[in-house]
Amino acid sequence: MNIVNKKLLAKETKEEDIVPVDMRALFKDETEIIPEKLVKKYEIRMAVKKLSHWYGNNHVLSGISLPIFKNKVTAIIGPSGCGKSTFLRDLNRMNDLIKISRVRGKVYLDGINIYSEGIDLIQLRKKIGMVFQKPNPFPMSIRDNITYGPIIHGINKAYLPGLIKSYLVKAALWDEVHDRLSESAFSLSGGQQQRLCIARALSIEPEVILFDEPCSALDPHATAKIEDLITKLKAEYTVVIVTHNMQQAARVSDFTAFFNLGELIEFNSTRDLFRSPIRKITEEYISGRFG
Amino acid sequence: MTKEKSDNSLTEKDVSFDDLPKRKRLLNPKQSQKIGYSMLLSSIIFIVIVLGVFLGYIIINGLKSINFKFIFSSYNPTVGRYGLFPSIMGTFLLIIGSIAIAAPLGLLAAIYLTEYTKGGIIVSIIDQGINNLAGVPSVVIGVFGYALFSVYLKMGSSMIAAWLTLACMLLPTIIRTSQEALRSVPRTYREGSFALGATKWRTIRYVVLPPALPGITTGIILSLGRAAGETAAVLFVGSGVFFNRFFNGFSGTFMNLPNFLLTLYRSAGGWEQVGDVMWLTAFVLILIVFSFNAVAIVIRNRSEKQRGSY
Ligand SMILES: Nc1ncnc2c1ncn2[C@@H]1O[C@H](COP(=O)(O)OP(=O)(O)OP(=O)(O)O)[C@@H](O)[C@H]1O
Ligand SMILES: [Mg+2]
Repeated sequence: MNIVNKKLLAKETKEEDIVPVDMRALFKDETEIIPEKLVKKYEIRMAVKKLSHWYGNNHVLSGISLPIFKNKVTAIIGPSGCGKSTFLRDLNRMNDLIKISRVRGKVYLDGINIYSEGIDLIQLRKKIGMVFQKPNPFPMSIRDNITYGPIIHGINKAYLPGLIKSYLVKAALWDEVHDRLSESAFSLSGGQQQRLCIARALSIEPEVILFDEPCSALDPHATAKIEDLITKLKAEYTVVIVTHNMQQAARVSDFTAFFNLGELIEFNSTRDLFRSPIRKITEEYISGRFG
Repeated sequence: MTKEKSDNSLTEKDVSFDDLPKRKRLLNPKQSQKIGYSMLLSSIIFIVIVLGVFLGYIIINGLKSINFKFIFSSYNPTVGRYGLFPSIMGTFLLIIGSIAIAAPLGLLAAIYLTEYTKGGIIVSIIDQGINNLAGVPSVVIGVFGYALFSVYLKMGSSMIAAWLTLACMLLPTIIRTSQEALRSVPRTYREGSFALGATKWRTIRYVVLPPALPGITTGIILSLGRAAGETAAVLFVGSGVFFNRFFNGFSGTFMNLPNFLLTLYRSAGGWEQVGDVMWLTAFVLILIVFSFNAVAIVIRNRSEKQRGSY
């Protein structure tokens, strides 16, 4: 048997929910949309295979297959309502919280389908962090926002102060808040709050980080800071970012997936997708003629 | 834009906003704004005056007839001693006991209903039931408590039966206000916590409850007053009189201030004789309610301050 993540693996996991850790083979029959040369060249960290999503009877994603490459930034773009957030939230099973949501298809991480029975959601979400569209710090002090995650995952209290600093530094927030760690997180500006949420997401040492339009509520200056941060993060993390902003996708991402009406229309390296889109509708969207 | 053409008929002729016919109105917006504001202002002035007169009257009359010997002595009308202390103690214990039962139970029920159920018919029936229970007259609760606790469960006329009966009366309100408080905590907090791998219980305990606490405390404060002032519900389950003693045990009858007032009112003496005592009793009752509220508010504010001002 292949090396699969023991922590995620449950007793009930079926054979069909386990794949080789090298996930290239999954995209052999998807070459129409997923360029073969990319799959050959880059290491895959997560693999989405024929993912469909319903809210009640509303079919919002149909048959999405997408590789998420390791230590790269993948941008998801597409018109409002096309299912970008739904897709992103499917990657860490955040949609489980929504009663009417139904998922079919597979999402592989560490060789295991995260939708297979008995998956440990706590371990899954420790591996896949998330930053939301609107900054959502907890109603606690800045310090407690950072220590919340480590405490959950059993870090010894003695190590917490060191962690606080290291994650705030990573999120480029330390200089601004180091002398007010006990203050409420709500005393920060919107951009600072979002960086705090990034630090909070980093605090559990995830391997993949999902960003859902992290800059949509921020001004250009704060946006630039966060974009800068995201490009730095990919040295250590695999990043998926949903964005409305084409320039942002072009600036921060290595790969771009264009969604429309719940389907993956085109996927390529960001440079190629913006320079020479294959489908007409992609071209119309990125040139701003529709959307 | 690519999907469908808009079929907005107005755009055909390009009518300008200013040329459109306006509807007639009785008052222009500024006038109605003025009227609305003056209605708000006059009602708050009215309320402040009524409340002020009401409280002032009780406080002044209560202070006028203050008599510490009376407050701290036991009750025995046969020797002309209408001591208040058994009633003060009874009221105290009623408040503490009924809140101690109803508050945790109500809060847990509210947490279960808001956080662990996902809607559906049964939940909405329970929800509606709680709403209806909150409106049931307390005298009916008293009958129920008498039948269930005093008679069926053989608790007789006792402080314990009264605690349970009062708790039944307070539960719907505590559940309802706690539910409102929990629901007002944004979903994004919960999502943020789950996204870090937190369990549901941890999320509730550390992320949802703290911001909901002020709302929950408000519900408890409202209940304190009702427990203190309840007359009818406890009449059936153990409120009575006993002589020459401060306290009759938890399984014995008790005295409380509202029912003491009732006793005074019914006593042969008439206003000339018992008027002063009634003022003083009312004053002490209000004092007790206010001090309990003050304690609750201090606890609430302190817990808020600990977490910073969110
Ligand atoms: N919780 C929900 N319950 C029901 N339907 C939902 C829910 N969330 C999203 N939807 C529906 O799913 C579809 C896709 O929504 P989604 O939020 O994924 O779009 P999006 O691409 O992220 O849009 P935007 O760019 O505006 O954020 C929409 O039609 C939306 O109405
Ligand atoms: Mg979205």
